[in-house]
Amino acid sequence: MLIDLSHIQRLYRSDEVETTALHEIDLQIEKGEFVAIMGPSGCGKSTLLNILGTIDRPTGGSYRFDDHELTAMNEAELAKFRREHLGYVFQSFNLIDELTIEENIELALIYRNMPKAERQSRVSHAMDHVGIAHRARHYPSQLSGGQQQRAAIARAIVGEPSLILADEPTGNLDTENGAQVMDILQRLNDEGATIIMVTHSPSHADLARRRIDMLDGQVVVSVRNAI
Amino acid sequence: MPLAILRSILRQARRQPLYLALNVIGLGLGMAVCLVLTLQVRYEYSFNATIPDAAHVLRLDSHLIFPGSAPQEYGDVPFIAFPFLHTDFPQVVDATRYEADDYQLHNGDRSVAAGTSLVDTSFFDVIALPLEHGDPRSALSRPDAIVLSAAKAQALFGTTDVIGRTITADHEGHHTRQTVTGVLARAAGPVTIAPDAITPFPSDEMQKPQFTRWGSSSGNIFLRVRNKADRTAIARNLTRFVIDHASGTANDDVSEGVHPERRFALSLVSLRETHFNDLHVVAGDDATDRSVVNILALIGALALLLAVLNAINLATARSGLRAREVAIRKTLGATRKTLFVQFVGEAIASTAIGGALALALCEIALPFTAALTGTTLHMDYGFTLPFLLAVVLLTGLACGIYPALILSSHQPAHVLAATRMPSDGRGATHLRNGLVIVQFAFAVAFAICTLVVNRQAHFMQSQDLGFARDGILISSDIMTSDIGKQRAILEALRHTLGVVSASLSELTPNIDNRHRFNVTPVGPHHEDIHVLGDTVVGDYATTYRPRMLAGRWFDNSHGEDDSPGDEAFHKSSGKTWNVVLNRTAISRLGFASPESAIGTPLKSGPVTLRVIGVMEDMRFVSARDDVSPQITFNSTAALDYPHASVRFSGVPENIMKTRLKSAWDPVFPNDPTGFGTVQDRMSTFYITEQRRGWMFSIASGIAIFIACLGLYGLASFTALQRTHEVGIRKALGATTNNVLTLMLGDFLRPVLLACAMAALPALFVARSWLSGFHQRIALSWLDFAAVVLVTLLIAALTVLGQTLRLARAEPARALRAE
Repeated sequence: MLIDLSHIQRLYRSDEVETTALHEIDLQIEKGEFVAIMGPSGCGKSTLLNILGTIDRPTGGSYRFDDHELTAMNEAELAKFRREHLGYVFQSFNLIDELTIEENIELALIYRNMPKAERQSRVSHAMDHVGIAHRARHYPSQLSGGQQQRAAIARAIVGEPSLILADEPTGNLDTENGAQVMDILQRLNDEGATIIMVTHSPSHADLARRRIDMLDGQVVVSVRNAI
Repeated sequence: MPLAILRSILRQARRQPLYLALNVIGLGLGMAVCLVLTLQVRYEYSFNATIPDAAHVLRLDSHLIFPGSAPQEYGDVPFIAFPFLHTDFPQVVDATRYEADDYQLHNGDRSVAAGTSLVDTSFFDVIALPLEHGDPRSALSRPDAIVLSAAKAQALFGTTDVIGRTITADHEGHHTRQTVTGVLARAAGPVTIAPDAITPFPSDEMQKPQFTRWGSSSGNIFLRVRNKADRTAIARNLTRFVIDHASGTANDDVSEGVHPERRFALSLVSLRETHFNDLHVVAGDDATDRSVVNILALIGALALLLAVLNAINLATARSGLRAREVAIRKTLGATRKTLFVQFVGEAIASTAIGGALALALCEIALPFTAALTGTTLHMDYGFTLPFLLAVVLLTGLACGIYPALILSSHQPAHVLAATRMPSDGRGATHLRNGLVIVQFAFAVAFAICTLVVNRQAHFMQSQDLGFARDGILISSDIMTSDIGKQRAILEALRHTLGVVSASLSELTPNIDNRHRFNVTPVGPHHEDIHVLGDTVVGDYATTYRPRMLAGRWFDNSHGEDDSPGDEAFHKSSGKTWNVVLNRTAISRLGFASPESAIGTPLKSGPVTLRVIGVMEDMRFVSARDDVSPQITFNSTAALDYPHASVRFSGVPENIMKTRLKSAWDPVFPNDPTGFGTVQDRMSTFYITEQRRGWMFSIASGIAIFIACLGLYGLASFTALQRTHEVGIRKALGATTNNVLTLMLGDFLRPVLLACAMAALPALFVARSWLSGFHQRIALSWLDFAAVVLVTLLIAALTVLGQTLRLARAEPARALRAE
């Protein structure tokens, strides 16, 4: 088992209000799964994805990844975990405006202290994989939304992560570009990547192997799609 | 519109007080520095401007060309030239001689020391110093007339309305009754001619030998001409004037020899120029280096420029924050022009607040600046307010136009559709970095130059003077050539408790222009060199401890060690007298080493001098000037212009001074003196550099502070803009340290680049400034490294808070940042 969440809880506290974003989540995900998380706005999908991606910490419960307990790790250990095991795809692409596409993709490898030659080879391969190589020297603002998202996927896969997390990857794209992105994700899954994707689109959720529905911070349905 | 601008400023003060404070403080400081330095520069350039028609009042300067030395300009000229000026130059409207002397003035039991100018009766026709009381046309017409300064009149009588009152003037023990015929008005601006008292020359004064020879430096001669052309005409004919009137035979006592033009020249300098001209003029006015004043003006302008760059940087950095406001305003019907005017108006309004701050800072800083620079600088609102108004307007426009263009150009559809603050692109980022580079480059260049100026000032105070400077006290001039009195004071000082040794000498620190004469090494093919002569009496070697390089000091057991006095010396044809030379003399005379000069005979006219010792150069002059070749005599006769020097030990300095005064007063009851240390006497040489160092330190400190304000502001807004980026980086595995290093590097890179850009110009400026000193520090790369390190450290501390906050941001929260 790749991921084992047990009684995961996330509370947000302000001066007077306490909000429960996640309530006692139990979730197990195997290696090579493609899981889609659905639910209405504010149900806790993105919070769950952030916790899975260790960019947010649960306020309770246990998160085991490949038999490692992540909730006990400090900030530096989590950063190391992220750069070695995770790849992110965001709804709004989150490419850095001041860097070229090539540099944006390379960024994921720089923090691994990887030699330059290897970095370049991997970046080149990742760009080929998503069909963005011809835009390597362009800046994000010079690309269409679909191209930017493909670049973001290239950045997510360049480090050959154990898990790809995609937060509404087609949310800012038109139908055609959305379909292309989903094709890539499916292909990556077919090649063995574990993917967890948050989406509002039932049709895109149906392309995953498993679908989880959330409501009010809880997993209410978890079903396997017939593919 | 003005109301809308005011509302916007108030809203900024409420919602973004940091931005407004950074902006206003930066502008206020920049304008304050600019204002203070403008007033300082205006002060320096306005010397003698209040004297009517000062540009056409000319001082006749002399230039002496000594063999083996560079020509030297003197503010003093021989008065023997005076009568010929009227006859030779019809362009001269009026002329006066002017000799400064020290008097003691008494009115009953009130007594004051007064720097008194002896002048011709035409003085006020030439230099029309305004009178508070009295008539300038008749003020000097009677022989017993005296015109007092307002301050001295007040000190003597308690009032300035004292026309017709009498006082007693005491000059070197000679008392005269004088009638007050005028009181000078207090000068409305800085002047170089500000005597405490003015009196006509006594009728027998011009018969004195020093006024009847071309070779003497009698005092100043001032001429009034009608216009510039007259000045040019006179200047063109001054060489002919010298040839016509200063020629004589080779050995006569009056002339400058057969070819006077080879050793003597005259030139003209107007009263409006003396303050800058006299930097290297002996017996000139208290002068200032014009290039330094110009540098101050440049610093003032640059400080303002830094503040403007700061404001532009802050405004453009924050333009993204106001994009939504612009979009909404445009949606509601505002045109780009309306918004442009509004934003420029806001910039002018912020600058006006900065201007008010600058005025307040200037009021506070001006008394300190005046004390620091030793000037009478004060706030002149007649000049300051219009100047400040113009500065505010221009600065406001300079600060406002570019950011207003950027701000007013935001497209509403694009801005309102975006979830995040619109990035203003790589061009704007480069511009902001460029502005930070320019700001820091100026600040670092200031700082390097400041360090060099301060090091040179410190060096001038602590440099090796060639003698043991500590523990010496020196009297003022001994006003008598009576050998009995001279011996009496020497004995009195010697027997004072705490005195180790005492001596009399003609040269002392800051007195270096007494006797000069030519000497020639005996033998063929040797040329004259012009040397400075000193004559010493008593335990000079113990008092000054000159460092001997070869031979010996004077010794009572050698009969030829004691030369006669000046007059007898020139008549002692065929005699040989022992002398000690300094290192420069040895070098100019062409000796291979100090040792090789020992025992060598030199000729000075008919007299033979034998070198018995060579001492290290004793520096009694400023580090700006070269040490003269010098020959020292030991004498049994009276000295012409002696000073007493004592070495003391085991007694605090102030107590020693009191004891010396007690020993002095019985011998010279009418010539009160004060004893001063070597440091006291030589402080005039480095005080300007020291004050300049202080000024530069403050200015460069403010420059760095303004630059840091800019950097801080930039860091604040960059932190806002890059929070999202930090979220992305952290999601990709960056640690806090990774982000911290990246952000610090990004902030400090332009600073480092600025340091590199500043180094070369700073090196050039520092080198050219130092070249004005004969004795100077060596420039070291450590100066540059120290400034760069300190600047980087200050810059790092400036952005550290913002950078740490940014680096520690939680990734999920950072990713949500707009």
